Amino acid sequence: MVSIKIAGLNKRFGDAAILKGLDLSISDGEFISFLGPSGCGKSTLLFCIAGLEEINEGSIRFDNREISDLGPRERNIALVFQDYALYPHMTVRDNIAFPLRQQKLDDETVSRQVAWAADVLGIEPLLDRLPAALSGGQRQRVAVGRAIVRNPSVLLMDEPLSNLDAALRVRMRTEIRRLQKELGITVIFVTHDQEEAMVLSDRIAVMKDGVIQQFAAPMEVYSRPANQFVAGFIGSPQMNFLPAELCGGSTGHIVGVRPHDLKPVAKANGGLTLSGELVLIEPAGPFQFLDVSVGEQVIRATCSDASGLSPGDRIILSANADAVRYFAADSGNRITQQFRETESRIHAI
Amino acid sequence: MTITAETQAIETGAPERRRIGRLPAFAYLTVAPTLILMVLIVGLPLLYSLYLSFNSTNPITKRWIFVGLANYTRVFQNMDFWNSLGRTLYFSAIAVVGTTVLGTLIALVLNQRFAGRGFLRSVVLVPWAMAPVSIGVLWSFVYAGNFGLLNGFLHDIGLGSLAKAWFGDGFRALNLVALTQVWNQAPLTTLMLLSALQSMPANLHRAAILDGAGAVKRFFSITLPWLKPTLLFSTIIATINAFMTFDIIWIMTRGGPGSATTTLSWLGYLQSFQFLKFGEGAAILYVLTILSLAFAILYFFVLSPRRTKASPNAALSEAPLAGTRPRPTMVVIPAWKPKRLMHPATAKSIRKLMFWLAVAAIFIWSFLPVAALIFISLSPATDLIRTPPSIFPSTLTFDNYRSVLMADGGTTSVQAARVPLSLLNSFGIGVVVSVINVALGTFAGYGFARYAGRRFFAVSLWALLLTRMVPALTLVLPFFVIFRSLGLIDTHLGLVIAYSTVLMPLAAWMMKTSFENVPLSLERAAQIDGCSRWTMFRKVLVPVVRPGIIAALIFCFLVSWNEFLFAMILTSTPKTQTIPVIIAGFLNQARFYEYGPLFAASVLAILPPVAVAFFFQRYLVQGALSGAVKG
Repeated sequence: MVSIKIAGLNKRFGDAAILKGLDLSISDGEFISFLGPSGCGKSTLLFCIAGLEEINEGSIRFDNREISDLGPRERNIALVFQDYALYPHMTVRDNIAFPLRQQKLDDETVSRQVAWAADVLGIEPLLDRLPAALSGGQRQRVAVGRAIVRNPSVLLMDEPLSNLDAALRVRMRTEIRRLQKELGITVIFVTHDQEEAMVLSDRIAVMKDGVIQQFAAPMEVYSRPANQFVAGFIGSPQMNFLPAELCGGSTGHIVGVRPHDLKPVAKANGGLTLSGELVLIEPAGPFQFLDVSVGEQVIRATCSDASGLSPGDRIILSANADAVRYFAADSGNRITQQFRETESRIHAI
Repeated sequence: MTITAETQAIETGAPERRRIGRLPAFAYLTVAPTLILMVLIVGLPLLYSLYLSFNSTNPITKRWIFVGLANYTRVFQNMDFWNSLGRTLYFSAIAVVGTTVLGTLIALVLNQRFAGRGFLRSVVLVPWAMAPVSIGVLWSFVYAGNFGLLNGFLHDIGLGSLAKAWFGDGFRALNLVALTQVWNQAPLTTLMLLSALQSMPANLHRAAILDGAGAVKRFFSITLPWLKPTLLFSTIIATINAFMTFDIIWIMTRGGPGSATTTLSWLGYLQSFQFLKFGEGAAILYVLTILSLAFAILYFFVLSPRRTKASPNAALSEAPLAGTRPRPTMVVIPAWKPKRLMHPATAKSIRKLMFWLAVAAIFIWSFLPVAALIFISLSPATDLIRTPPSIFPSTLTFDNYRSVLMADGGTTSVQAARVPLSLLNSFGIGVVVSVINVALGTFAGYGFARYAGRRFFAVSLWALLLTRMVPALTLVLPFFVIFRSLGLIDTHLGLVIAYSTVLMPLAAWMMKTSFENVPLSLERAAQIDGCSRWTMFRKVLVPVVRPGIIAALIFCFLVSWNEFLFAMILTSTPKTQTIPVIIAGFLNQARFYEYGPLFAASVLAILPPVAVAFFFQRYLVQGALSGAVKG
């Protein structure tokens, strides 16, 4: 178990810059997620940490020891792959024992350690099967078993849940979190699923185009997004964005409000107010989503009871002042600004 | 001074990280043995034969005179050359068209589901898997003048008056040899097309059926476009194979009657090995090589993915904005009335009948000649010269097998007594050469699969593939000259070296395909788990690609088992001769009582290929689909 410090990391494939001067500090025993759309460089960053990709510039330190020139086998890391990468010609037992055998440990130690890992993951009955005879969830457990069996300094996971069906994915993520707590291991988890990252992580690194946009605790990322990209990427359904003109005539701002904070009201009552034509009502269980056409845009809001509403109605939407976020239109960065009704005018109205 | 300063600056500016972008030495180590050996056994001999083509040699005085392009000018002034070039092109055209059309039809039938499909697939493969020498023996006897099977059949059905010496007419002989080539090569086209057909999304046809397209319409507007890339590929392979046809000509007609079946490869062989005019022979073979290379280039040109230049964005941006565009309205379409020629039930039963007729025709086409060969081998030798001839044996006997397999088989045939040793030779050389080449190919295949993007690997892979486009005749000439001076003529080692020229690129290519199917994450996992590259290769990759290794071994063994040209020219005594050479040797001693043992030996020679076709079909298919060309 180590702390990790990454500084000024650059990675290029030919002329294409994949990672651009990343800095990142991860404490011992933390659960960290790299979150971003595909192509943002999150898996490449993971492979750089693993030593599977060499870095062009910068340093990667484990507990203050520079490791960026070491091969993967000298870093004592474990990696769970998206496709699990189980060795198809070995039984589950041999798969899990494989990393230990490479360390030339004696048979006694190997079998005790394999038994421990199998017990932790509850896969003892599967030990003599071949990977081809396992279900997706079972393969996933075996892959995790192979990763934890040799007490790695860091456990890296590359979208490990993306090949599982929805129900199993939810169950496995709880289990991964429990395992991490139990072993006290440092975990870096790559995912494009913001919900997964929110539920699992101590901190999330949101990435885009090879740059870390924000590195903070899940609720911090959710409620105080660093910029418009983070605000839009985190939270489902997506945050609404509207061009705005602040009081005093300063333009070039964007107002963001999450659908969950925007509700239909009988009449304007302070806070942010929008009005438009109701286009669509989407039932989503405990509440309904409302698609409302405001000017040229379609804005999404929620309500708990849409019985009185029907498409075509003109409705008024309102959000509390503290639920409104401001972004600079040019840089996309969030601006800390108190919402004052008298001061700002939303363009779309 | 400045230079020193600069060097220092660079060294301090880039500390430690000099490994970036460099491939691990392991990558080069995997392909090095194959590449070095290929330069030695293919590159240098080819250069040597190129040099030969610029010299005039005297076989008696062994003097060489450099004559520059004189050999080529002499060749081009020779009418024989132009005639045989014409024959080569005619032969190739017939062979390619026949192979492609027939291969496609067979593939379409075999792509349907029906009882016995697996069996029929194996049967269809046999003509392609069996040794060309056996094919030659079989079809020579079918068309043989007085006592041939075809004449026998005509007598049996009362059309004895139509019987004739089929090879008597030159033009007919050329066509019959081309037909034999089609019989041999069509299964290769079938195999390639079949795999393309099976990768076709089933919903394409479902959609077309719902859209009202009939079977013929669907074939031309859906199946054929889907098959186009594969068809081009298989056509080019068939063309190159037709250019290089040698074995069946040697067995069936030896270029005759007259020079009616003298193609370029036969002419090159005659000049080099009958008239011992090495220089002129080499010149002819180089013309053939260039012809093949021209097609090889076409082959790469066709294979390389075409870049689409169309930019959909341009079209989109020209479209008027949604707001200003008038909304299109729906058109009233006449009610849907399917066309119908006959009652659906009638159509269905006619279709079924046609289909089973096609299945029967394919079975007869592929299997009947082979069955005939087996029957003849079980007939008493006297049956073969009956008057009038008949295809029905008077009695069945194992005498022929006894005479070729047993030391005192009661035969006076010298040639028959050589068969057992030749079978051993074929088997031993096949095993050795397959193991060596697949071992080398496993390493090289890994390097080529994983680093295909690197220039060094891409270029050397192309070079490797190009060697497969060189006719074996072009290589056999320098081998003959070089081996003579090295004392390698008539040795097992000589044959192992010669066969490796064909098998090494084949094995590397097949193994490359196998490694490409291994996910990269498996390698990464092994590295993470603490393996060195060598351990990873040994403990993870080799076990994973084991089916590919077995396929390569089987395929290489078959190619080696069937090989005739190298074996014929590079061996001279029974101690090293392989079974195809012994079979060919029977034909040199045309005494009628030797025909029985000849057919028995031919059947023995096709046993391994037939066994593979029936029991290891998928390995054979894998070899064929890796672009394997029997050289």
